[in-house]
Amino acid sequence: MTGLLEVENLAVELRTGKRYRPVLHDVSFGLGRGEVVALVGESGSGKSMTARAIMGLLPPDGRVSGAIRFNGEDVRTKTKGEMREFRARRAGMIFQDPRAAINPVHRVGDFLTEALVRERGMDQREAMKRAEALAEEVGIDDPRRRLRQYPHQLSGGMLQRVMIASVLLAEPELLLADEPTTALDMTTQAEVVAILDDLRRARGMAMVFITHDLELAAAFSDRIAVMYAGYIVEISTPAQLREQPLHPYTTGLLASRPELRERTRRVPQIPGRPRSAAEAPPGCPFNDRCPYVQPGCQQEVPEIRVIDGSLARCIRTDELRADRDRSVFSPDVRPSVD
Amino acid sequence: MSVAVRLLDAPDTGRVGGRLRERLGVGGIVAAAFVLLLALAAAFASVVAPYAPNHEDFLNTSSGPSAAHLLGTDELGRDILSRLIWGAQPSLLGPLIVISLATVIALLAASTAVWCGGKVDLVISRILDFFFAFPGLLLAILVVALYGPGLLQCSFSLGIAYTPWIARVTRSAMLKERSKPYIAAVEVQGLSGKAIALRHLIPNVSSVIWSQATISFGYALIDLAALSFLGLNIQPPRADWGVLVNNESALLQGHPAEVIYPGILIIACVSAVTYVGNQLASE
Repeated sequence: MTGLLEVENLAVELRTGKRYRPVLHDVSFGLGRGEVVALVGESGSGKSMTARAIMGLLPPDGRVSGAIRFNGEDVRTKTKGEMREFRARRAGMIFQDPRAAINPVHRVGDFLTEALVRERGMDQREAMKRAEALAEEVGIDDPRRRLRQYPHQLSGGMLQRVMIASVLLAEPELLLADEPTTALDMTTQAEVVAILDDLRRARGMAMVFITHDLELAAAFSDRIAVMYAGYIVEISTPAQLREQPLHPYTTGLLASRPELRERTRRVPQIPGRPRSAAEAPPGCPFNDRCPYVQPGCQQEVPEIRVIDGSLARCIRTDELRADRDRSVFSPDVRPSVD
Repeated sequence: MSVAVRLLDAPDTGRVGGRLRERLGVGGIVAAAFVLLLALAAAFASVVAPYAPNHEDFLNTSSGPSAAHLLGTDELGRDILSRLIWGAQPSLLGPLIVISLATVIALLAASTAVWCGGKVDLVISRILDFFFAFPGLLLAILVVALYGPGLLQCSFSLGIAYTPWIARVTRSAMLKERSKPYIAAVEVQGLSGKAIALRHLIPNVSSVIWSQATISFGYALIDLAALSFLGLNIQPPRADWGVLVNNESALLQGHPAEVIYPGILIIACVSAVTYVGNQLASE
């Protein structure tokens, strides 16, 4: 894996009051040029925190360890100026809710051209011309008029296109998309994701795509990293993940998707509720909800291991690989937990 | 249908003006107009005032209202209306200096504290707390003791004393904005902290800043008038409203009106400004 981005043993603790609360543990993954890695997991599993750590957006009083290497250089040791340069030209980020992520007091066009004009010294008119061209590319009709409007005059889907355009304007090598479609309705979601993927492909950008939608992740990523309670529990290709999930949590996630064709009384579920990194039990973070739990699981956090070209963080993966009976998660066979 | 489209696409001219009017309400507009009128009268005192402030009409000392002197004259025969109008200049200019200075320093301190966070925030907040503990009038008296009486001395020291009041409120408003996604979104575009503070942070807390500055204007006017009353600010024969209130001879000689007029002006002006400030602060 000759990497554009290499995240190695990233651990993050954030301060709440006087105590430090863990949010990420031992997160490692790599990303080659033009590749897409999807980070999948429930709320609080650390997906967004991983992206924020890469962009250097963590609160200043947090504790961070591990390495985030971009083109071989550690992002974390960059000076303020280098960090700005990194953000302005190398890596871009798209946020979940475009309405919250675009300053309401400025015109949309100003939002797009601001960085070009102020940080790169581009001529305002030239920047506007480029913004209009790109706005057209992301599917904004009549960009000349639209860019003169204020954010409240545009729909959520339009604003997310603006957001995408703003990132593409900088022509970064790496794109971090933090649930870019979660705040949009279904039909808009599909359009926005398609646009994002087309333009990314055309420019050869690598992308970290954060979502809680497994299907969406599988549809256009090269690898999927499943996160739980601040850990990456499994990294696999979409095909492999679907065929042979290695971690019981992934198995549970796959099992709990509602099937449109089948009539079921109840959708299978993972017992218990998702744990955040701070609430995870000692040992394997999933041990209190895992139907395959053994005494060994509560001893220590399993190392992430290579199995069949994929990575999984489970001591029982080898034994369980044969047993792909997902019915353990069906509502009728409910193993006792807690 | 076409109506709906037009509504959606209507250009946004006058949006800010409309919101301001909505916020102020009828009372706020009247109050603002009153203060504006006073400010205009002060600015064009040489045109508006019937007499020069120190013109003495020896034949009409301590006279009541007449056609020549609408509010009468004082014991030296100076026209009271003219003195009130001329007195409005330092009375309004002083608070303006105070809040301008205080707002600029406060914005600098608050945005630095919020942007850098952590230890920088801690240090700035403690310094602000220190100045909080220092009464404005006392600071002004200290400065006057060192540099002699005068409008600039008083305004500058009050400006320093008022800084923490504006800074603290601005800081907490900015802190709330700082964690919002739109700030992160411009941060990841590589914008500098200075640019983000100036273009994004400050405009989004501007209503807080405006209301704080306006309310502080009223307090500053009272404090400066008090300093004048004590003889530490404007020096006779020049007069602001505070000096005009301090006229024992008029009281002793049974002409209370001379003292009441400037008093009414101070109260009316402060009430109006404070009302406008409160209206601005209301969401």
